[in-house]
Amino acid sequence: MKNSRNSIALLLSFITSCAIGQTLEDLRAPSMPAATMIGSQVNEISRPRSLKALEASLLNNFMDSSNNFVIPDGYALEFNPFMLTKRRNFNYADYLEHKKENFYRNISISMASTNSFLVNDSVKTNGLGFGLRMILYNGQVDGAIKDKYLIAVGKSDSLMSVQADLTSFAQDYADSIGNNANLDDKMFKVFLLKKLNTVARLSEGNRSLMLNIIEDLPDSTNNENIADVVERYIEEGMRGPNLDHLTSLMKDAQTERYGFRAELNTAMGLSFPTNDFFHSYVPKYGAWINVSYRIPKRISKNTDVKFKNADKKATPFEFAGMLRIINVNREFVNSYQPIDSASFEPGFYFDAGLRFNVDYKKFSAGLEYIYRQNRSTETITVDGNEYSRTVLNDGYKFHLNLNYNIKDNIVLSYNIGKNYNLDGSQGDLISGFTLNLGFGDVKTRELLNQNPTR
Amino acid sequence: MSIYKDGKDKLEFTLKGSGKVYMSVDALNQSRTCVTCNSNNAQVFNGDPKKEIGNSNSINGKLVRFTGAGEKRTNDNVKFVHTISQDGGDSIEYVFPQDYTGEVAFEESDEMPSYMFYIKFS
Repeated sequence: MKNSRNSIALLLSFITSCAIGQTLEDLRAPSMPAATMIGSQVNEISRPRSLKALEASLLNNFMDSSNNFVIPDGYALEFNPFMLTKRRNFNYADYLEHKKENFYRNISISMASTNSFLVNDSVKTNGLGFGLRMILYNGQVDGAIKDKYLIAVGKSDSLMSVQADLTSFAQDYADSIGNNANLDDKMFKVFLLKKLNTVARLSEGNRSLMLNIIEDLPDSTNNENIADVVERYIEEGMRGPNLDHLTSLMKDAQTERYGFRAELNTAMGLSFPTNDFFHSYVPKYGAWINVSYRIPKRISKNTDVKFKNADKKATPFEFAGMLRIINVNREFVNSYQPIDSASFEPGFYFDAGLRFNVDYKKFSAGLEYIYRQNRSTETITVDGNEYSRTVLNDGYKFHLNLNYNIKDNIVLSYNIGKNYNLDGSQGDLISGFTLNLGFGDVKTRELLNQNPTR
Repeated sequence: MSIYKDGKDKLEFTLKGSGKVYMSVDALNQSRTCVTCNSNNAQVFNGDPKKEIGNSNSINGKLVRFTGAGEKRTNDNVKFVHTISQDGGDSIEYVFPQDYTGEVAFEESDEMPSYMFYIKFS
């Protein structure tokens, strides 16, 4: 009897080791739900901005030279469907407010693949991950950035209006030269000034700006080149710097937000254990919600009416919370179970976590705690009798991370963690000070620029 | 950058009756443009309601120029769809840069393309 009990215990413990490799990922708001679901370490994320680019990315990575379907290792793709549309008359200023249209505009779809999808401690297979990310609430844009952006947009519209008008007037003058061969090279200024007086719709600001431009036109302006000179003068001297400023503010408005931010993620894995496209499993699927709060700082109200929104700004301090549920496919796990008389019921994984972030100039730090609850059931039939037991896989993970950006691609970091792999007592992490040299790597600045959502 | 000037004899619009003629413009891919028409110096931004550029009598037989100042605000290519229409009559579309066939080759990297196209009304 004692031997029989020992055998059952041994077999059950073997089943446990066959349980699907389920690790706790960082609590940091995932930009790639698909990769999170299959535990893929992605080297590079493809972010196609057109349907053609999306098609090219998929075909290049999932078809081999003989046009056979292959699953690439470490491939990841994320796109925002709205950004693939024509975006007719889309105004980015919509993202500065909470408009209902922003909900579907901010949906992003991700896809990742790996050849190292962990089934258990010793078995790996291929896997595809599909994810959907929805921003439910996107915080408030830093008031000063919002004001500066709206001012830059207004200036841009004003300059475009002035350029379209003056270039048109200058072309009128150039066209009239043929009929007035006696016009000398300076008559165009008189012509333009007269033309200004015939257009009633001009605002005082635009009229004044046009007068200044006409007065300041370079000496090299003549009857032959007036339209080109006017166009170049406005474009290079005024619109160019303003457009650079505008696009820079657009990027700031994406990241410099304060208050609550909520994000819902869903993802599923797909595995082809025999490399046959028509034989697949959904090994696991899950959903999680991240809610973060970036502390705002009240600033003294600017009396300038142009800066009406600048009463609060984002601070470097952020709190985040996460709730996650993941289901592991029983059939998939048991297909890798070598003992016919045994079965494993992995159950749901419930995770809850908290994180505190500080991101100030070149220094950043994160303190994170995640708690997991899981009840799995192991069953084995011996001599016609069924034995089962419930295994408590509860656990937690603690992680402290400190970073200092020495340069754009050189980071000095310090990490300390407890239960880093969450598979029992092992897995504590103390990396001490390490120097990460990102040779040829993606820079933070580039990642921010590539953010597909707004 | 130079101004992208399209041909003067490229587009024709046959007026019908005495209905007013309008222009409007749509910008795609998050771009922005402003267009001035030299028939009456009307100006329109993308997304604005259509603006009158004259009536059948005032522009019949004339070659009308449309001058645009565009802006590319993302990495996506600019695309401006201009629609000229007549009340009770026809309409015509000019898409920049797809329909552009001028001498200076269009550069997709141009962040502030200025362009001109003409329509002969008859």
